[in-house]
Amino acid sequence: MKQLLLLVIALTLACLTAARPVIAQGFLDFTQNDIQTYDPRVACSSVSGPGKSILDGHELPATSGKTGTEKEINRDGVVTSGPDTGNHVSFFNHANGIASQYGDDALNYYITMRWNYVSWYWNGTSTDLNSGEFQWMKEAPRKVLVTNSRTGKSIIAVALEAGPAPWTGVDTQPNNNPKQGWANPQRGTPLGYTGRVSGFPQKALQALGATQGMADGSGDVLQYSWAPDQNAAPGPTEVTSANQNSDASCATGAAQVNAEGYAFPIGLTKADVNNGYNWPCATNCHHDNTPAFDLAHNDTVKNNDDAKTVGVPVYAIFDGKVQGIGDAHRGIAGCYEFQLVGNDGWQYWYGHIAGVPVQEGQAVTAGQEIARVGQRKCTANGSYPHLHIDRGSPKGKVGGLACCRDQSMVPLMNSLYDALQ
Amino acid sequence: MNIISIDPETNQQRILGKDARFWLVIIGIVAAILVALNLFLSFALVHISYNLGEQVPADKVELSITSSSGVTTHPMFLGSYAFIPRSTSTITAQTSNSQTVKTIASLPYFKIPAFNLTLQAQQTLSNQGSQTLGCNLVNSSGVFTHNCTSISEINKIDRPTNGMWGTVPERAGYQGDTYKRYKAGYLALQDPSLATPKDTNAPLRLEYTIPGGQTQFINLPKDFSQNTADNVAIVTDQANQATDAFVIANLSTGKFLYMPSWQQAATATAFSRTTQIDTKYTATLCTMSGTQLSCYYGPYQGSNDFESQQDYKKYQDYSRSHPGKLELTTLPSAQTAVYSIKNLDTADNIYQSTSTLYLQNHEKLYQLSIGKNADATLIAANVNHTGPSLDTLYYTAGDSLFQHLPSEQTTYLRFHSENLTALNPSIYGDQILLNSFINAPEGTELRTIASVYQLTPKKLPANQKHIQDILPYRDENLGIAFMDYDDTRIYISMQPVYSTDLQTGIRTINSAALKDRQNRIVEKLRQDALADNHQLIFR
Repeated sequence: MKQLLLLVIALTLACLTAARPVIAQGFLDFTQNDIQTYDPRVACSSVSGPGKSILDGHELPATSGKTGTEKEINRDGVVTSGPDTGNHVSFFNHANGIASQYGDDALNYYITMRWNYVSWYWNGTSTDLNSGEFQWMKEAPRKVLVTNSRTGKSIIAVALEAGPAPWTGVDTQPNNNPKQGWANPQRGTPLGYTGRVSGFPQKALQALGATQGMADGSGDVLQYSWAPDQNAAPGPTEVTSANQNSDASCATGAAQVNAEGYAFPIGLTKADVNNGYNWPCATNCHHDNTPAFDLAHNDTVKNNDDAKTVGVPVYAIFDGKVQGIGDAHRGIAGCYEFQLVGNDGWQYWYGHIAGVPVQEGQAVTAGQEIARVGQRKCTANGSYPHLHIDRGSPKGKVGGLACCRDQSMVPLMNSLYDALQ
Repeated sequence: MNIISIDPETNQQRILGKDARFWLVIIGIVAAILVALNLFLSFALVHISYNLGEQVPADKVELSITSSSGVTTHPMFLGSYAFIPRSTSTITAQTSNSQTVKTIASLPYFKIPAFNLTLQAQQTLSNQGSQTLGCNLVNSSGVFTHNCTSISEINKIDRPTNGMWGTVPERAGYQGDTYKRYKAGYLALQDPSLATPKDTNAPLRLEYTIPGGQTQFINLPKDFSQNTADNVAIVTDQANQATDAFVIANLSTGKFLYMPSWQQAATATAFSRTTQIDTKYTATLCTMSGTQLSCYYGPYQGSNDFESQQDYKKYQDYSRSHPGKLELTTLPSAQTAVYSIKNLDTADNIYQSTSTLYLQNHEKLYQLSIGKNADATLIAANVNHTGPSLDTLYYTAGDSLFQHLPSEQTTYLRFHSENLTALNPSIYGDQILLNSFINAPEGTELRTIASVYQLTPKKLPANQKHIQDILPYRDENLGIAFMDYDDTRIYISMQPVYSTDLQTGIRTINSAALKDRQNRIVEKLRQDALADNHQLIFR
């Protein structure tokens, strides 16, 4: 009970000190086994603070951070593919029990974290055993609730392996010097570390809709806490909460992605975003009566308040790669346009933008920030600042041409708008 | 006179005194003439041949034609002859690893034109460095890289003998959103309106930066740009780095400053665009070659004249009837000649390779033939980036590098690898650099590595693969964390092999297993004939 009280205090402090206000509701309640009461914003709100979830006095090594891929295991807890084939995972003794109780598929939902029973060197080796912690992990399969705030998807994962090495997802070389404040050796994750704090088999990553943390800084930041119900089956789970994804601090630099993999392309709220006409768009909502969208803040459109739109993040509407950034748009300094060649087969034209953080040809994921809305001059002073987006028709052709825009973009944008908070 | 009468002997109808069979024959002849005329006007008989150049493996050659609208079809051949539509803009011959494209400006009516296409072997690429930022520059001080949208930060490619190849900062903290390649470096504008604190009284500063060398500044006349870089463009000779002259253009006012060299920038010659240019032509794109300035002027949908919905039809009508002008200005006299552009409504970019002008409209690249008008001929339909050079133009399309030789009216495939996305050709003299992504499975670290490659004159031997087709290895079972290479070295960072004590949970490196892993990688390199001609660096 004392631990629970400490946790509540720690989380409350974290909420109060967060950059954005977080409504203090739905705290973890380990006295209940009802997952419906869990609010992932709690885990999220502790991202910027030192607070960590504690279960029976045992701390999670991290409450947020990037992730990576682990290989599948069999009922013996043995890795079945990749360079480590044949090796046992650290807590292989739980594998058979998990598979027997929940089915073999449950083994696809194991998690690896740098558990606190040892201290971790940068190169992935460990030392300084805390045998009490180790025995606690060996005693029973410990379960972790993992949430991807970008996609709103969650899983229950079972702790069967230790890792990943701290250098993964930060560097491409195991033997480089420790980075990001990683003094040797470390328990858990030091402040400032931005690499991978966990790993899952591919199926679990897919269930989370998560992308791996990469050395270039890309990848989803996931939220972790001990599962409120330690008897829950490993696998996808639903976390119901009125505002489960509304905390923008959980989704820095990313937009929410729907089940089909699409994200609304501009960082404005449902109440603020204006397409020049009405939502939902009836047929065409572009000034030339074509299926394109000029998206800006209401105050920019109605009151010429450019500052409400200039610099607003622009997101990848779908997974794909960026092409044609090229020279400044129409020779206007600081203004750009490009095609997002979507993996859905469409080419999306983004126009009147600036501050492009991605490289030509770079692969991007839906919801990833790929630009900022440019100034009024990026429309050649012909309109208010806005993001222009359309996609080329027929499928596969470039977007941006008034002659050849895809009509089915309209219902797609309407549905993405509907899902906005 | 009755037009229709009855023949009293046969009782058949006669028209103008002729029987029906006569008229049927006449109608048939006229129809046949019309069909023949239509075929004559729509199609041309051409002779197409090809031959295989040095080191091009004997392979099935596929011939195709592409129309000016970008549609590709396969013509029907009678021997080496084929009827092809007069709208044909290119003829392509390709094998599995070579491609040659002939450009057709027009097809004659009273002659059978002959087109011979020579398939040439691809050239090879030499890796110059990794962790590039999208755009690169090479000069006598080395290879430099920066974000394509700015030169505010520039890194230098660093390839230590035994360490990992990467970049080191060359400079940072400058403004540089408006920049252009110039000689061995860049010209850029320092916008006082972006300074902190904002200084509206300060003049616009022009910066000349040579990576690895000096940075110098001059002030532009205060009345030239109203102290902001908005709508100010720098125009340089992109094809010839020996050209000293450059031009600063204010796209809003149509005012230009001609500077014969950086040293003589203070004695700039000011001139304005010709009055023959329609004020509704708000799209202005300029390039130069030597002392000739070439500017495209065209309507822009987003301009004040056409932005509103009710004006869109006006814009469409206007752009069709006023598709754009090309203004050629000889400097420093500022004598101009203006040409109407035919076969192209709008353009996004203009390039010049010494004597040849090109326009790009989205992904389509056109060559301009200057005569009475400036006639645009489609060269390629899916172009990403271009790099003009002396008497030639390199461009990337569909992940491949091509070279267009206007003197031959021909484009050659110079490099293609399924494992690379070739982008952003950057030219310095005869050095052609490419920024490339390794096409690796999503989520692997290989995907995040952008590298800069130099095109070498060495031809790819017949039936051999590019080294880029082989490296870096993608087989995850090899346990490679990262791999990089150049002409003489292969750098391999191995994933450690861990041993976990299942009784204590302590994890250590399994040195013996790691050595086995290294041996497997060396054996694989040996099988691919790469181990003995490269220094292998394991880390």
